Amino acid sequence: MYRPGLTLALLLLAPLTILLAMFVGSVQLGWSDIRQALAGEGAGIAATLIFELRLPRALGAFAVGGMLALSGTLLQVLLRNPLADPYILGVSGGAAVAAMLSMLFGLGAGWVMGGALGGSLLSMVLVFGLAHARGAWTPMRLLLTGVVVAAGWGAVISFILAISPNHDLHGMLFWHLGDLSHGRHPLIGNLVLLTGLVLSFPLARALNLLARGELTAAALGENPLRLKIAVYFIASLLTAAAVSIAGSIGFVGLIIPHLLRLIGGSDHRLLLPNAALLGGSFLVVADTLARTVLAPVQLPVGVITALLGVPVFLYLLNRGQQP
Amino acid sequence: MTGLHTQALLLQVSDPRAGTRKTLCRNLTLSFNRGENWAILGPNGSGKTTLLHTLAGLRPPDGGGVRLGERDISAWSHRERARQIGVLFQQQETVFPATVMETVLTGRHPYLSASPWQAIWQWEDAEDRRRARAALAAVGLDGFARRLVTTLSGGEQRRVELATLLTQDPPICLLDEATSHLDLKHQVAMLALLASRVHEADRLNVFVLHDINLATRFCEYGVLLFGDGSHRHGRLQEILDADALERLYDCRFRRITDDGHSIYIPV
Repeated sequence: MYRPGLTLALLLLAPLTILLAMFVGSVQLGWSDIRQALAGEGAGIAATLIFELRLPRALGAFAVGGMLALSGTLLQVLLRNPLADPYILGVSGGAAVAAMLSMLFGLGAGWVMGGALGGSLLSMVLVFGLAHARGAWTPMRLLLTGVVVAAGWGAVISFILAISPNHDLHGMLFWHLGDLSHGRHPLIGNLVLLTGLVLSFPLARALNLLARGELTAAALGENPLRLKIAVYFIASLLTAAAVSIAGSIGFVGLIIPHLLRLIGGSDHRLLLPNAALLGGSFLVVADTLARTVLAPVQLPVGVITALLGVPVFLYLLNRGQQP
Repeated sequence: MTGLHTQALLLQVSDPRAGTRKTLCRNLTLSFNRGENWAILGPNGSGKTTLLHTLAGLRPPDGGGVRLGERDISAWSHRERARQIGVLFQQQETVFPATVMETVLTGRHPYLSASPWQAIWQWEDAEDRRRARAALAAVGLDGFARRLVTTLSGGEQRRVELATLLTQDPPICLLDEATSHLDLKHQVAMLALLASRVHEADRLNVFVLHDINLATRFCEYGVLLFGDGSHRHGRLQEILDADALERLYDCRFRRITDDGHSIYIPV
């Protein structure tokens, strides 16, 4: 059914959360500060805070949250499992290992990001290659392979943390838990998010069929293999970009699509843009909390998403069991 | 009129334990024509579903060929084919909580624009929704449109699948155990509905069935798959005798004649 109301509400929510992120912080800013800064009149600390710290960080958080939620939505259809998420497939593990190795060898920030991108792509290829080794991928086989590869990466991460010198540990842990404070290029993230949305949107109606099974999709006029490859490619691109910008942030890709399916229906023509919008807004709020609840101490945003995500998810799961 | 034709069809499945391939159906040549109701009968694992999927073009034959109209089935694009052939699967995955209306409307997919950039803006229109509502009414599910498929009973979910097929409204329907999960009233009602469409609008139904009595009641033609690669096809009345039945199901049958109609009961 055509229900654009939720999408419109989410379109309004997104700028509101970014505005909130500009207000709140270790230095409180008032309306006048923000109005002046946005009008280009403000000088000094308020303008610096907004344009160099809070606004880029909020926009970066929005891009990462949107990418994770969109990629989670796509992977859930691909695996036909509502519990699938970019991290369960071991993508973040591969990225984290590559990034931590770059840190361990004292390479620069560019290497860390590039390494994360390469690591996540390598992990995706590894999982899909192993799952495909004998015959076609079944969703269950793919999921199990992903879980096992993720566990393998987890062991390597623990090993690297154990042998790392103390002064590297803090940065590595932040990477491992997800951190947006180094996201200096919000434009790139938002561009990737937009690209992912533009590429996946034309597939939305076909995804409605794929959600009901590959044979059903084939019988109703789609080529399932072509569709699966396209979905896999787009989801990999989004996840790799998100992980290389912000490290491993869990739960966004899992909870946002699940929540939207329960309140807004399963039609992917609305689900895809809704996921990008709500995922982005959610991460902006989570990141604002991460830098304010214990200010001036900053928490890794992954801690906040997990603390918010776990109870919400358990509540939804229990509610969902009642017919 | 496009019908389905098989030419020296060979169907095999791999048998992982023996490491060999088991032949389900050897050298099957027959024509399923419009205006006919067909039943595929055979014991478990005899290749009924494999034959149905091969006829639907969802699986390549292991030898021989399937023609849809004048062209080989593999020469049709997925979308063109979906406007000719609809399939009701034996089992349907329902992982995500879609509503009944959303599910039934997927039957219109083959008729909506295939161009990706138009696909964004082209939604099912009032006519598509009218067809979906009519199909839901035909299977006795009016008033269910907003319900989540995941909250329905097995029989109701089966009727949602049938309504999706009616919404797709293709000239050829291939139905794998259409009556599974249905109560006795709905078994008869659904088969009567589907069979009548063949006579009224010159369509073709191919049913995989386990109930011989429903098969003889609603289908004039049949394919018997014996499970060892051999088969028999033709008018059900002519091919379905006591010997064939015993060979087919490896059990004895009692035949009761009522009002000129034969009813078979396993003993």
